[in-house]
Amino acid sequence: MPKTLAILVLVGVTAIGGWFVVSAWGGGSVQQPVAYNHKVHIDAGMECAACHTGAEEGTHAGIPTTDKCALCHKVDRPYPKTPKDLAFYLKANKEIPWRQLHRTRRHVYFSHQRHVALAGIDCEKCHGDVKKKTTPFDRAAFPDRQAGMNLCVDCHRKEKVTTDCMACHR
Amino acid sequence: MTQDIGARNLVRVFLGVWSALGLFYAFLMFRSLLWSPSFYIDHTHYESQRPLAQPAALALQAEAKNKFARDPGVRRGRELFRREGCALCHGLGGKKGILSKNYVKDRVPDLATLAERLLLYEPEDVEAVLPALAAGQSLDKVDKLDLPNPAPVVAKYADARKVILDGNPGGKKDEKGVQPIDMPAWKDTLTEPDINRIIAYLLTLYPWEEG
Repeated sequence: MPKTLAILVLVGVTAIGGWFVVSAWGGGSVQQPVAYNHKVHIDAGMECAACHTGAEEGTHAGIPTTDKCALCHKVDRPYPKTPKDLAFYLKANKEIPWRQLHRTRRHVYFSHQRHVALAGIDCEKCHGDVKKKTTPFDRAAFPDRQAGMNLCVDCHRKEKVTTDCMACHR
Repeated sequence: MTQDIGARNLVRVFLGVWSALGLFYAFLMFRSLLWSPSFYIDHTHYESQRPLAQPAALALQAEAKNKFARDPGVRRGRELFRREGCALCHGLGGKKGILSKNYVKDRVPDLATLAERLLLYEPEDVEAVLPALAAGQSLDKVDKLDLPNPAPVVAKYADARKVILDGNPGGKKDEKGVQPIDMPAWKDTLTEPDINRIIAYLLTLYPWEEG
């Protein structure tokens, strides 16, 4: 019995520890509910902040609601082409359950407005070359797959902007 | 070393659990280093640092210089223009519409020059109609407009309002081609006062300084 118990405890601790390790490294990719193609929309002339309305004026950039897709996409029209997965949500009049990947930690304050509107930083600087992206984000587009502090502080140092702790960790 | 099997097993369990906890603790230490400021921050001198917010010259700054930008009605119109999705097709700031296949004008109309289309050719003309529109009032319900010839302006305004309320199918370049993107109808989504505020906002976008 003690031997079994010991084995069970070790397996349990290993499993819990393993789960933490996997989650720390971001795990695998996630699948988005709709195969959104950034390139097609940007090539047509759409701007980032037109969909992500908080990018210039808010803390969070935000993800557009399904009714915004419905302004152009009609299930009974050949143009613009409406993929089947999008058509499902339009017909059902349901919100697309996007899986948010770009997020800051709870102990970090990040304002999109300060960086986009005031500092004039292009979205690609942090989110990568979205203009070429034909598949939806399946993982965060930051250089090391998470918005580590080195990404922020490197840029703040280059631009000679504050690196005071309280500026971001309020 | 004890000969008691039960005790030895208990020791093994004890050591196993504490080893696992120790490994977990080491893992947490490693993770915390990723967020540690000590790796990334030098001893900078605060007096040499510039403030965080920089008055950069951007489109929003250019908009903010517009003297009408602070009017609550105009701000409301701007918020609606962005939030309701108008900017998706007409562009942020109404400057450049998106491409629309088989559309007679190739691109969805830009709205920054709406003032011209409403026959308002001078900034004073826009100032004459803006207070009423920003307050949500329709121009055809205003008793007197301070314009040289208000009737055609009101007629053009009514046309623009009708397009927003009822929508408008996109004109085809090639009749046999696909139907371009239509202007959707907004009468079930936007109230008439809100539409007037959106028009007020669009009138403030005209690039007068560019001539």
